[in-house]
Amino acid sequence: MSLTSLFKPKAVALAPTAAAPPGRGALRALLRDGPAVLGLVLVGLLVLMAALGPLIAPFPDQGAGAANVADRNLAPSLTHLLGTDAMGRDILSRILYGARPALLVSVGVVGLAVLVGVPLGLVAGFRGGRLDEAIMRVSDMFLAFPPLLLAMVIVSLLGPSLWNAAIALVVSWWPWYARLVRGLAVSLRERPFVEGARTLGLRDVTIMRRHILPNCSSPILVQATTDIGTVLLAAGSLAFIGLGAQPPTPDWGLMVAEGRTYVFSQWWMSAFPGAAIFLAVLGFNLLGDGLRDALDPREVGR
Amino acid sequence: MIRFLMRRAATSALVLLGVMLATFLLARVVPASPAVAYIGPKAQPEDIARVERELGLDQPLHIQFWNYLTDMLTGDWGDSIGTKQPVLGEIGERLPATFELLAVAMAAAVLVGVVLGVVAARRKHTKLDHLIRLLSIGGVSMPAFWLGLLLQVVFVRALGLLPPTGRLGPDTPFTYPITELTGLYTVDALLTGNTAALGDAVLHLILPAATLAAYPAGVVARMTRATMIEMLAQDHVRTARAYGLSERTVTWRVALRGALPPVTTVFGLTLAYSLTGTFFVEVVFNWPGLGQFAAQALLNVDYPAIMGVTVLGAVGYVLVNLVVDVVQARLDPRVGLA
Amino acid sequence: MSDLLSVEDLEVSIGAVRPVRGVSLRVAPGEIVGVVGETGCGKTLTGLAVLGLLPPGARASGRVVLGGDDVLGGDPRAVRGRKVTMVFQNPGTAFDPVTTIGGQFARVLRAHTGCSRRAARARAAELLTAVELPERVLDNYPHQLSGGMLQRCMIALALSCEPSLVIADEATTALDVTVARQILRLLLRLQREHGFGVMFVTHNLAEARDICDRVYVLYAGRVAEEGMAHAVLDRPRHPYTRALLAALPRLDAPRGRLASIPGSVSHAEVGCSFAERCPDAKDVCRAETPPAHDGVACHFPGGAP
Repeated sequence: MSLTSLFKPKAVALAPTAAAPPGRGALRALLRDGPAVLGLVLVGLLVLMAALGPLIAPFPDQGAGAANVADRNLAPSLTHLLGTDAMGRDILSRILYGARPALLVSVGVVGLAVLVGVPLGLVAGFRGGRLDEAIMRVSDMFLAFPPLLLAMVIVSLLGPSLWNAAIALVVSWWPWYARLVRGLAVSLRERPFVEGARTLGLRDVTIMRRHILPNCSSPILVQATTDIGTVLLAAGSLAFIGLGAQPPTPDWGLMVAEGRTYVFSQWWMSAFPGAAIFLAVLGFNLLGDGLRDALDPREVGR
Repeated sequence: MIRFLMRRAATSALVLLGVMLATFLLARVVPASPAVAYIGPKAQPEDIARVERELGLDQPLHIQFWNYLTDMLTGDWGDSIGTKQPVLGEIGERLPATFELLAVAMAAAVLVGVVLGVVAARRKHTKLDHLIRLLSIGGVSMPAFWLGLLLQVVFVRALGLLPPTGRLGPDTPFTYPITELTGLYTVDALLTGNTAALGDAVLHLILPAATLAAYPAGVVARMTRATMIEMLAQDHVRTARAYGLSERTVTWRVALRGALPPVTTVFGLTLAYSLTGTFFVEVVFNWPGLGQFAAQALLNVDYPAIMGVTVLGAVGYVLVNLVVDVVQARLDPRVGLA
Repeated sequence: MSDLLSVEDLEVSIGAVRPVRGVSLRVAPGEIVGVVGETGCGKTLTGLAVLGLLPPGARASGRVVLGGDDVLGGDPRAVRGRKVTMVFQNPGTAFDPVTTIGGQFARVLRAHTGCSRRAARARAAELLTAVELPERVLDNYPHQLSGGMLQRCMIALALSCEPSLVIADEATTALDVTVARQILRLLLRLQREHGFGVMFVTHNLAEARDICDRVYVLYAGRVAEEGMAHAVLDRPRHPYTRALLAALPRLDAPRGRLASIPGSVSHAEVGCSFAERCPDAKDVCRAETPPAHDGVACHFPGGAP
C-alpha cells in the first residue's frame, strides 16, 4: 500500500539530476533524526529477535507450539515475563518464535513485489507506447480493488495459510511498485543526461540499468522500508480474522485472535503480541519516514 | 462540469467491468471446482456434475461471464451459502451500519488529522511537532484489531465508561425501539426524538469509530503538516501577511485553503483503505455491518457473498475516487474539468 | 519635515550571514525614494524588514520607525496593511491561486474595516476602476489574468489599505517593458492623487532616475551612496555607482564588448566591501571601512587623486 508514500508526495516524485546513490551524508542526516534512530533501534531489535529468538526463548518447546496445560492463563510473573496463554504456553517465547516468520514474510513479500513491479514499471515508463498501456491497464485492474481486499479474496479462495497469504500479498502489491517506478522513469526519460546517453548510442537496457534505475533507488528504498511494515501489519491482520497463519504457528496476529476471548480477564494474551506487531510496524514506518527526509535533496542543510 | 462527469463516469464503468472480470476469473479459475465449494468436500461426482449444470459451469467461460454480468446488473447476486438469503438483500441490510461507522470515523479522522497537521506545521521542529509526528506515525502503525481490544480493556473493563460491542445495548431495542428510517441509528433516533436510544447509539459508536479513525487521522495529519509547511512559505501567504491579515486568518483561511487539494487526495486514499479496515473493526466490536459479513464470507468461502462484497467494495472505491476528483476540481480552479 | 519612514543602522543576519549591515534611510511623506543595487545587496530584505516580514530564521537589529510606530521593537501587524503595504516582484505567485481576485480583496477589506461582503465588493470594484481594470476581474482567478493585470490588481489592493507608504519591490521586473512602463505610470499617477510615500526597490537604474526624488545605492548590505536621484545617477561619486552605470547597455554606444564589473560581491568585515572590485582602490580602502560623508561611503569620492 503506498499510502504512506503520500506523506511527502514531492519527495517520491523527485528525481535527482545525476546518478547519485544514497551516500554517507544521508546516513549522517538519518542518525541525527531522533525518531528515525528509534525506528532503526526497533527494526534492529526485530532482526535480532528473528535471528536469535529460538535460542533465547525461555521455553523453546512452547514457543514452537507445544501445549503446557499445567500453566494455563498465568499472569505476567518472573517465570513468565509476559504471562501464558490459554494452552499454557509462555507468551514471551511465542513472541520470540514469531519474529522470524513475521520478518521473513514481510521482507519476502516486499522483495518479490519489487522484483516484479520495478522491471515492469521501468520498461513501461521508459519505452512508453503500447507496452506501457498494456502494463498499466493490467496494474490498474489490480489497483481497482480497495487495498487488501484482493489479497483477502485470494487467500480465501486458495485456502487460509501463511504461505497463501504471502502469495496473495505479492499479487496485490507489485502494481504499486510498477506505478511508482513508471512515474519516475517517465520523468527521467526526458532528462538531458538520459538524452545524452541515447545520443551516445547506448542500448535501452543499458540506459535503464545505468541511468534510470539508480535514480529511482531512493524512492524505491523509502517505499520498500515503509511497505515492509505495512505488509507485516497486513499479514497480522489476515491472521487475526483467520485468513493467514493457522494454529499452532507462532504468528503475532493469530496470537491476538486467540487471546481475544479472554481479553477482559487475561489481557496479556492479546496485548503483548499486538504490541509486538505495533512496535515492528512503527519501527519500519519511522525508519522509512526518516529515510525520506534524509534522502530528500531539498532537506539538505536543514 | 457535465462533460467532465460523463467522462469520469465512463472510465469508472470501464474500471468496474475490469474488476468484475477479475473477480469472475478469480472465482472460476483459482479453486479446483466451485461446485465442490457449494456442496462440500464429500461431494459425489454425480452431485458435482448436477451442480455444475445448475450453476452454468459447464458453459464456455465467456458465456459464463456474460451470464454473470447480466445477473449482477439485474440485481441477481445469488444466494449466500452461509445464510441462504439473497446476497444483495444481506448487503442492503448491513450497509447502513457500516456507513454510519465509516462516516463518523472519517469525520473524526479529518478533524483531528487536519488540526494536528496544522499545529505541527506552525510549530515545526519543536517538541510539539515531534510529538505529533510520533502520534501520527503511531496511528498509522497501529493494528486496528489490537487497538480495538486495548480500548475495550481500558474503557469497558477498567474504567467502565463505555459499552463493549454492538450498535445498541441489549435492552435498548425493547425499551426504546428505534423506528428505522435510514438505518443509521443515530440519525433515526434523532429524527424521531428518541434521545435515550440516541445516547446509547452514540456511546456504542465511540470506540469502533476511534479505532477505525486512527489510521486515516495519522495519514491526514502527516500530509497536512507537509503541505502546510510548503504553503506557509509561499509568496501569496507573504502577501496576505503584508496586507495585514491576522496570523489566524493567514493559517486557517489562506494557507489551509491552499493545502486542501493534496489533503483531499490523501483522504480519499485512506477512505478506500478504511473500507477494508471496517472488516477488522467490525469483527472486534461485533458491529453488525458489511465488514463482519465479508469477513465471515471470506472465512467460509461463501462464493456468492465474496463476489458480491468484492464488487461492492470496488464500486465503493471507484465512487470514492470519482468524488475526490470532483471535489478536487472544485477546490482548485487551476485543475481543468476537461 | 518629519520623516514618514526612518530606518537607522538596520542589520539583518541569517545564521552567520549578514546580508544587511547597517543601512540607514528615510522617506518623507509623499516622497518617492529609490533603493537600487544588484541582486543580493540587501534591498529586498530592507523592504521586508520595514513590514516586519523577514523570512524565518532572519534576525534584525537597529531601528525602523514608521509614522511614529517602532516596527522592529513593536508589533509589525499594527502597521502592515494599514500604514504600509508592499507591491511584490512576482505578480504570478503573489496572489492566492485558489481564491478569486474579489475574494482576496474582500479578505483584506473586511479584515481592516469589518464591512459586509457586499460593501467589500463595491469598494473592490471602485479600486479596480482606479487601476483601469473592469469589475469582472473580481470574478477571475489569478491564473486567468496576465502579469500586468495582476500587478494592477496588486496596486489596487495596496490602495485599499489607504497606506502612507507603499514599498514597491521590483514591481516591474517580471513584466514586459511596455507593460512595465504602464504600471510605472499608473503608480506615479496614484501617488500624485493619494500622496503616499513610495520606497521603490529596483535594480533598474533607468527607472529609478525617471521616477524617484532621491535614491540610495546599496552595495553588499551597506549604503554606498545617497542623494537626489539626478545628482547621484548623472554625476555618481562612488566608484560602485559609476561602475553600475557603466554596465548599463546603451543603444547609442559603439558596438563591442559589454561593460561589466569585474569580480564578485565580497562581504569583507574590514575595509570597503567594494575594494576588491574597485579600479581606484588604495591600501586604506582594504584597511578601513569608509564612513559615510556627504552621502558617499568612499575614501576617495569622485575618483582617486
